[in-house]
Amino acid sequence: MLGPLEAALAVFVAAVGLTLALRALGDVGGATAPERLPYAGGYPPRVHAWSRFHARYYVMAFVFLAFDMEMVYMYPWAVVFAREGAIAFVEMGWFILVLLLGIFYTWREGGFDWA
Amino acid sequence: MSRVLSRIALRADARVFCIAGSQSRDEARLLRLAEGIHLTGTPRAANVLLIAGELDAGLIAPALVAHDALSPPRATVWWRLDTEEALVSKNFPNAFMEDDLDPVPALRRVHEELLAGQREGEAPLLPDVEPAQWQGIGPYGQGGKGMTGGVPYGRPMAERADDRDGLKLDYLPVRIGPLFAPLPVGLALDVKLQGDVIQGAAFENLADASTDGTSIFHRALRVAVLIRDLELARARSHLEWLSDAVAVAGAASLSERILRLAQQVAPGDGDAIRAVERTLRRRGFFDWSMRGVGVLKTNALEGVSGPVARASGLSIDARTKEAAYERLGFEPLTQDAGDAAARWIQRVREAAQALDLAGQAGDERTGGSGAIESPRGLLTDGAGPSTATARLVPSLVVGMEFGEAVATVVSLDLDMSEAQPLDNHVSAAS
Amino acid sequence: MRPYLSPPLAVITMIGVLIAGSYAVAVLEEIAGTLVSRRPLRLTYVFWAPLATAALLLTQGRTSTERPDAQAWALAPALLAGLAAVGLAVIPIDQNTSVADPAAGFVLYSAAISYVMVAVYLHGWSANSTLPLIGAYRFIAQAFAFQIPFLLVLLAPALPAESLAISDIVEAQESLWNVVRQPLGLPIFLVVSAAATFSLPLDFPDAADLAGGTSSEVSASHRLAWRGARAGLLVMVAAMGASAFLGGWQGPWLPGWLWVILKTLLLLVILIASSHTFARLRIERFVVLAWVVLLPLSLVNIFFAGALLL
Repeated sequence: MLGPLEAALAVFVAAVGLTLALRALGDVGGATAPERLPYAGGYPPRVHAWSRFHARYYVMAFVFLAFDMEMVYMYPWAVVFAREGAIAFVEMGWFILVLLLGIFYTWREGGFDWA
Repeated sequence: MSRVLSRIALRADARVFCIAGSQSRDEARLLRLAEGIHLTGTPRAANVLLIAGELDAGLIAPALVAHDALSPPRATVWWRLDTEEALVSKNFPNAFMEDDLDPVPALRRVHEELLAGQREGEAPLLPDVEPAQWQGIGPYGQGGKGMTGGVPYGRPMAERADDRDGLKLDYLPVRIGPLFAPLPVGLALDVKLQGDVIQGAAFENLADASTDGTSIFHRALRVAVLIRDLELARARSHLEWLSDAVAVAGAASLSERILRLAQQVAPGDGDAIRAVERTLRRRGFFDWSMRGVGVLKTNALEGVSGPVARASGLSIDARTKEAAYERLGFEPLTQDAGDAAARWIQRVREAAQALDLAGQAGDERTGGSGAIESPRGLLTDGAGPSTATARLVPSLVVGMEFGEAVATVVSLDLDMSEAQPLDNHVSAAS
Repeated sequence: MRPYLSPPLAVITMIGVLIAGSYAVAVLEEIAGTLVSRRPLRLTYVFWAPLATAALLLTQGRTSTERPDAQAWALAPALLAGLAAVGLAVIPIDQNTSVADPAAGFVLYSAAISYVMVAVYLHGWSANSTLPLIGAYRFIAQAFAFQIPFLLVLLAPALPAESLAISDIVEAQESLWNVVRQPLGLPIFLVVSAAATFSLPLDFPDAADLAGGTSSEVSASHRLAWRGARAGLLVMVAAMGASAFLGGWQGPWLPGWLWVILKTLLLLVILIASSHTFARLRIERFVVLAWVVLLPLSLVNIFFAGALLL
């Protein structure tokens, strides 16, 4: 019905299930309060670790989004490339060039800087 | 089934989380070379806790937390190392005592007894009391309205503070250490983390102040010692630091090789160290990893001496004032960059230079004048170089990504037992 | 219809491949560590150690933390293992033999690589502890940086093959392997592979400076599951490299499946050896390197591959 995807799906489900089972094989030890203290060098934490985490690389997320969309176009492009020839080369070349300029612009503006 | 697993597991290295008192760091470090045990970076991965030497008073409470974090069944081995006091035995009543010079057989024995069921796993040492009483409403006890109201599980959520980008964001006040494997023992770093960047920092020194160091450098404060021995000890100290630093940089196997070299070097082996420098350079430790990290300008170096000062270009070295060193043609080495890479290179080159000097020194002696250039800087009676170096930490790490901050602190080669005790230094972001 | 195994047979084959692959990775790690540290090599120890360590981890008690997100925590290593399995399943084992070789196998493979980000993030986030949390967010940045070059460099071999099925990509290398036809491909692939499998020198989420990062709070069977899944991921990436650049099953004298295994092992050896050789980059530097150097280079690579076909 699904053909090869059926096998792939079965493999995925089995690997997930067996790893969950492997993890569950070990006894659960360490259930008292001191055993559950998160460890960062010997002092209990003052607050929960979950927080609004300041991901300072957020600019990168936008650039990533642009390129991730571009990848969607590239999959079919790669397949038909040999058939379409030069026109495919030039068209995708232009598209990528514009994106690349964006990368270098972001770089110049310090968009990939961390802190 | 579990019997079979236990039988197979007997062949495994014992997973050991090692806590060393500040006076036993060198002995504990050597265990990295031991076979049959594997030192872990976190207690969660270990089944045996090793306490090396007597623990400093400030380390007892954190050691109890580490003990309870080990995965059960767990056991404790106390490697006494000729200590007399009994802080450890009082606080770890079930610890297996080991007086031998080599703790590995004891660690193996405890590990095997645990697996064979001949030894009961130790119960947690801290009382089973929740950090705060569960008093919430709702399935997660959040105790307030909405997603972030209240104190879930009796512990508050992060608070918000101004961020330097002009946003109001959560910050996590976290104490890293004093038993955090990558940092020097006894250094408890209190950081305010916004994301993975440190916005404010302070530290507390939990190591006991050492009054009478036993190293050759402490001895040289009072009596003249052979330069040959002194310089060999200096080279060893630098290589041992290098072994630690390389391990924090991720290269565990290279760290082991360097530690082994530290045990084997002899006077005149400068070339072996220069080969290490080439290896480190080829593998990118200086250029990829440490270049530009934790830059120290000379004007920030008040009172700082030793390789840290010289890596920033200050040519200060107590050895230049000694006639014996002058006869050997000693000239202090310096670097200009002042970053972590410069401090790495500085120590490696000083180790090579020390072995060269040791090879030439013959029976020249030095010392007895009450001041000596130790591997970490100027050592005088009652004051070690780490006091001034440790003071640099808070202002230096503010604004750094977490890993960069760790690499910076490691590059300073701190010995907290030498720094003044319970000295609280604060620095916050402006 | 492309060849594929019936689901039960596929499951049995894949589980076997994953277990054998993880074991091979553990043994290679042990050998590399021994050689670099210049310890004497004890072969019985090297071959026993991974099994004995696994047994030890299984006999230990699994600890928890305060209020972890328990379901997500359990799911993270399982998801990673599942992704490794599904990625491996699309790679042909021999000519006309595959676990599953869908026409868009490459798309399935890239989906698996993209979800690695989710697995690692979940693993760090769900412990509700600071150090794993930092590791989790580090990997998001790392994934943003490596994913595009990783997929671009693997897409270039699809151009001459005119297909997204991995078996066609291997078939198209009959006259000339892609390692020669696209000389930039394999080197770029090896760099981004280290990032994709977060192994040294790019092991940012699980680094030693975070005392283990996302795995710093895990013990016992969970630790074993995570390590196994990571090893599986490494095998999945190496196997893809062998098929996309080294001609997969193609080769003289030996049967095809043996070539696949040998080429995969070769790439594993290269990846593991370099993890014991190079210093860890700073993550800030890696993301800039990935965007500014690796991405343009992989674009050059794909357009170069295209130009050859014009």
